[in-house]
Amino acid sequence: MSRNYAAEIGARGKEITAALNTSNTQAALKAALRDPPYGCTDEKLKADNIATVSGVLRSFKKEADVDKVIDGLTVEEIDVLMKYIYASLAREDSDKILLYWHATTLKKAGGLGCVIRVLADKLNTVV
Amino acid sequence: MTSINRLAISITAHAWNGDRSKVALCPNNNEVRIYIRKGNEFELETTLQEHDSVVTGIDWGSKTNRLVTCSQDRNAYVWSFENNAWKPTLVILRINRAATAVQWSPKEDKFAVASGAKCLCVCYFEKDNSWWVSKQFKDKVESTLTSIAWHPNNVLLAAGGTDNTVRVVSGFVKGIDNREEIGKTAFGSKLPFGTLLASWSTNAWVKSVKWSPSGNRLAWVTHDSVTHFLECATTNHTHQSVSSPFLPFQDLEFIDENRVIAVGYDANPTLFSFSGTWKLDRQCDGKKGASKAAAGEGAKKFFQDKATLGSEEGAADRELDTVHQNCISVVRKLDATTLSTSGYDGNLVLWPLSSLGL
Repeated sequence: MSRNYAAEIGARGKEITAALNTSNTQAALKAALRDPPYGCTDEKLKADNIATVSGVLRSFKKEADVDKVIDGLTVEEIDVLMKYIYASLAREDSDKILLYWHATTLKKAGGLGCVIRVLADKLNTVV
Repeated sequence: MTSINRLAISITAHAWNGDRSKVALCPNNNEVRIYIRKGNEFELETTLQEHDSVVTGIDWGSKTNRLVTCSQDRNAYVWSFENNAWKPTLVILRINRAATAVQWSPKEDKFAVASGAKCLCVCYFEKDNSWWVSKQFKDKVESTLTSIAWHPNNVLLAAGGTDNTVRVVSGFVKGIDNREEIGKTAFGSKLPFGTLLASWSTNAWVKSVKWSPSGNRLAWVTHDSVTHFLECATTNHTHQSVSSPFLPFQDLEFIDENRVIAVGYDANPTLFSFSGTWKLDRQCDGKKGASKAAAGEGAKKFFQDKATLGSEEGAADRELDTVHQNCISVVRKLDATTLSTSGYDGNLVLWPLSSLGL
């Protein structure tokens, strides 16, 4: 059973755009973290996906908003979030809110274990 | 009271004898040292030197009082205590890579060795030729096996390795094990030696695998800081994985059916408990920093430390807050109310369960 990554990413992209248009950054994040394209071999699709998620992360202008939304994430979502944070940082999007995302996810939610899983999990990667 | 004993620069493995009066450990070299427990102190009794390189695994049979050791020199020795001396018997494992772990079977009539030769050896004593024979299991194992654990029924063997897989294999040996006695197990009833009964994939290296005391549960820790639990009381197996925010674990031990202590790079014994599902409970080593920080050693020392060490808390800043100062690599059950841990810091620590808050 193979996944239709293009369709999934497209659908989520629309949902994210809609949420961001109404300034519902929390809904945008939840959509961004859903169904990560693990196993997708299309480099362009993956790059576009990371660009979209990076955009969502950078749409959080206030640090307090980041704190609040992290509290509402599940353990699995935190792991996915950290993978996207590293992917976004690697894109050289310069925005200090990304660094804040990393520091807060590390300290508040995932701990070092979460970072270890980004490094160790070779099967489930978003890049 | 937690008993902290710095017995070496670094310890790779340790094992207790039957009455827990002695402990055998490897100080990260080719020796096996046996210490006698005298009250709260440990006194070196003997040093066993037979291996050529680092001893990676030690197990001490509580019923037979035999030691089995395995090493990176691709050998294993069985040691028996005769005429006031330890006499080693070489076991030809027939592996061409290091042995990584060893364990006596519950009846102590066989032992299993995990190795970097991508194979698992089950060794038993053949009386006719008066030597230890090694039977190997290699089927589809793609990388080093890091740990093995015997099920209480003396036949099932769980093995974990760096090919990100945990396997349950039959370690049944004709002549040693009795088919009728074993009967039906939660993994099947046809159990000729080497049958692969079940396997699970993980996302990272499996570091250690252990059965619960009854054998109805299996748990393993992987290098991505995830602890896995398997319900296997019946043929209907359910698996659960619990991610933790800590550094990866190296070893684990069941305190009882519902509680597991995992140890690893955080140098802090961590409790997982079961009540309906398995959950990460907490890290059990309390912070000991308080007394040191409040020492009030004076202004001069404060500025001296700032200049020489670059630290404002002085010497206290250079130590970990936990009892162990480096990775804990082995945890063993000393008795019903005590655990023992050893680590790369060379400490052998005895933890009464009360000191862990349990």
